[in-house]
Amino acid sequence: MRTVIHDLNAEGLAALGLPEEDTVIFHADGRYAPCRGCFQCWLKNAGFCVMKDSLRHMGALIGQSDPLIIVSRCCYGGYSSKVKAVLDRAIGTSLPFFTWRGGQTHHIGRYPQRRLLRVCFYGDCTALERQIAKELAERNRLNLGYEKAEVRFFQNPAQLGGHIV
Amino acid sequence: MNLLILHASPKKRGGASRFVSGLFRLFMPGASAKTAALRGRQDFERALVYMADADAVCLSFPLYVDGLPSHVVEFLTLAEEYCQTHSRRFRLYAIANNGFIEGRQNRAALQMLEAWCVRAGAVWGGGIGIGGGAMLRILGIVYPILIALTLLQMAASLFTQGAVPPDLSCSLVFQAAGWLFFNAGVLFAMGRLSRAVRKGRAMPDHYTRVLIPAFLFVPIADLFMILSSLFHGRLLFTLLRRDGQPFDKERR
Repeated sequence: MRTVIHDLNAEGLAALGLPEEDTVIFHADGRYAPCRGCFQCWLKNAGFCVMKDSLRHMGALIGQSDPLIIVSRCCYGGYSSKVKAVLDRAIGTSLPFFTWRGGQTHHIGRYPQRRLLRVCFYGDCTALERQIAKELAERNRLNLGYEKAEVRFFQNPAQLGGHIV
Repeated sequence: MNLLILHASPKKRGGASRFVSGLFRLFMPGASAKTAALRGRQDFERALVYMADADAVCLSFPLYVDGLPSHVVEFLTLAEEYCQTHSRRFRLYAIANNGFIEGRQNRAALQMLEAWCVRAGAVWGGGIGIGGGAMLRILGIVYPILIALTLLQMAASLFTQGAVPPDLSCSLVFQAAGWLFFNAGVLFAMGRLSRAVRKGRAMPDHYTRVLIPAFLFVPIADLFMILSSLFHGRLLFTLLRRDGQPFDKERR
């Protein structure tokens, strides 16, 4: 199942021309609470959040998404706060237990390894921010359980059409 | 020099970010410093007001999904605009901590703050990335309790027998030395950071960790997770389950 998490407005989304079939499109609109760091998704629930809003089962969605496509405004080399809140609330994708991957400690995945994480950043992005964004995507790949990470940069949302899937 | 220390853990109580920011404050005796929470939107306005008078800001935050927590990104977006419109030019320092053992896993988050400084017109002063932040916090609870119990035993012995047994004195020394050892890397990094802040200089980003070997860290941390889940009334196999709830595909 393909999943697209984006922070675009309706016009920007329409311009993407995303296929309807086998695609979940999640609009990171900010109408949800940020993670409060209680870790109850790990210690009490089977990967789902205690807060009952649209992000409650985000861990399961990401855990079953292949490819996972993230479309975000580039903020200092990372995701916009609205997109980041979605990812922060999805740590149930992994288990609370630790393992070693790539020579460093990481959490053990709750779901099987998936193939592709694609991150599309749009907006003004300096050379330093591009470098950070690439490192971030690679780290996300390791922690979210993907074999490969791709990062693409676009000057503005209008350029995204046809380059997302 | 006016220093503002912001601790950005979203937790109501506790949290490694609050712990390390408190530790950092101890390294700045005599400095004019304000400490404020940055837990969420409710704290943004006050933090911006405090920022107006600051020559140096130290942001202590937990690493969330390899980067800055979402509420910190939101705050930085506001603060960027504030700094540009008010011509604020302070020096930004940071203390990042993460649950993994490697402090270096905080690198991207620290670099994001450096990138923020370029956009906001602030000066990047450097940061420290701490690995095993949660474990340091737990050791910061366990060791004081152990030391307090030993001191109580020593006081009781002194009261009843008129002398303190040497084994109790040895225990106290070992406990204090053990706590100091596990924190040694962090204390050294804090020393470097406080020196840079005092002198108004930049320092290269520094990565450190709780001084436990990784092969011990993993089983200890796993055991802690199992015990924590038991405390929440859950058994190990419950933690391993997958979330069976289908996601609402209609949400767009």
